[in-house]
Amino acid sequence: MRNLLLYLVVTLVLFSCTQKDKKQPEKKVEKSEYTITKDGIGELQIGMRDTELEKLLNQRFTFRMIVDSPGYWQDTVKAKYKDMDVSLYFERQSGDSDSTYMQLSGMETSSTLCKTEYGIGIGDDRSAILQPYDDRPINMGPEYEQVNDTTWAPSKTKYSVNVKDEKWDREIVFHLVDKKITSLAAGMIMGD
Amino acid sequence: MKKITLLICFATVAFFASAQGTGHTVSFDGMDELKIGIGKAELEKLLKIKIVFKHIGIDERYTETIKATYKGIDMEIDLMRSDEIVARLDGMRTTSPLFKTAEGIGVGADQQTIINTYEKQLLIIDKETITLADADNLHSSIVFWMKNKKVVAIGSEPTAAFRDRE
Repeated sequence: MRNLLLYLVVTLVLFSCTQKDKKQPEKKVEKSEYTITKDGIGELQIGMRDTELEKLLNQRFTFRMIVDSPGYWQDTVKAKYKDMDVSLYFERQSGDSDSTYMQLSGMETSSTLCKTEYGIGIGDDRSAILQPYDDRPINMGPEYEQVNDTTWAPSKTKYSVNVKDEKWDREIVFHLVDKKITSLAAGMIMGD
Repeated sequence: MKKITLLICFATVAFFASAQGTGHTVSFDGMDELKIGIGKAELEKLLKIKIVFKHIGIDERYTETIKATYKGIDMEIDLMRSDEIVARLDGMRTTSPLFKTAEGIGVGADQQTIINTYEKQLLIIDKETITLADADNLHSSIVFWMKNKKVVAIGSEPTAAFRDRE
């Protein structure tokens, strides 16, 4: 009888321990130059000017869209950062006395080296995203694809999860295909 | 004995089937006959009450929330000033488990069930709510109010971004 009681107590204690473990939030992994946050990846930080980035990456950018169509105010440049292929998204900003410059407004990578501060990366499942960002505003849904010149329709395979900061200012975007993460992006949230 | 057991089973099934039939539906358009956009007069007819405003038409506020009972269910009703029809129905919610979406989601459902059920639609998850936006026009929404990852209230209202834009 005593043994049975002891067994029950031990089982109860073990059970409560496992329950406690389950409730604990995802632990953050150590940040590295490959860590993506809402502000950028490593030294690539949203808000940087093109000239700063050219120096950092030792690369000269050509803004093709802006050169071809002077009315455009956005452009994308492909670059290499710490062995990762990244797409850098720029926006034209007004500087002093009628001058303009290009400012980094976002970035995206499909590199398996890149992970969030919770260790979420390429190939992970959609369910892995929600738990660590439990306290943050999230938009999730199918991506829209252009069917023809005038019609857009929700994709059957492409999906995105946007994790926003409290101010709805910046976000991390997880792009998924068939419920698996295929690319990670950080960027400013555009207003209406 | 076998026959009695069979009879009890049949009666139980029949009871639950009829109980399901008395359920109420939440959609992007509204809740049952309470449709977003209907005017004050029609709303009064459906709620069987006379709506007396404290703000609309009296002070500068153009929205007002009233408490009402619809088919015996307690509801909160949002109204918005409208020049042609005094005010129009702009949103509603209830804590009653009798109201469910067409997919059967209502008070008591958990977050994961909502995510799995509406994985092909746009979901906006915030601290207190999960908003299911209408994928066709992103204009209307079904809102689930959450506590400890469970639905505690359900309602229908215009998507916040679109309401602000109008």
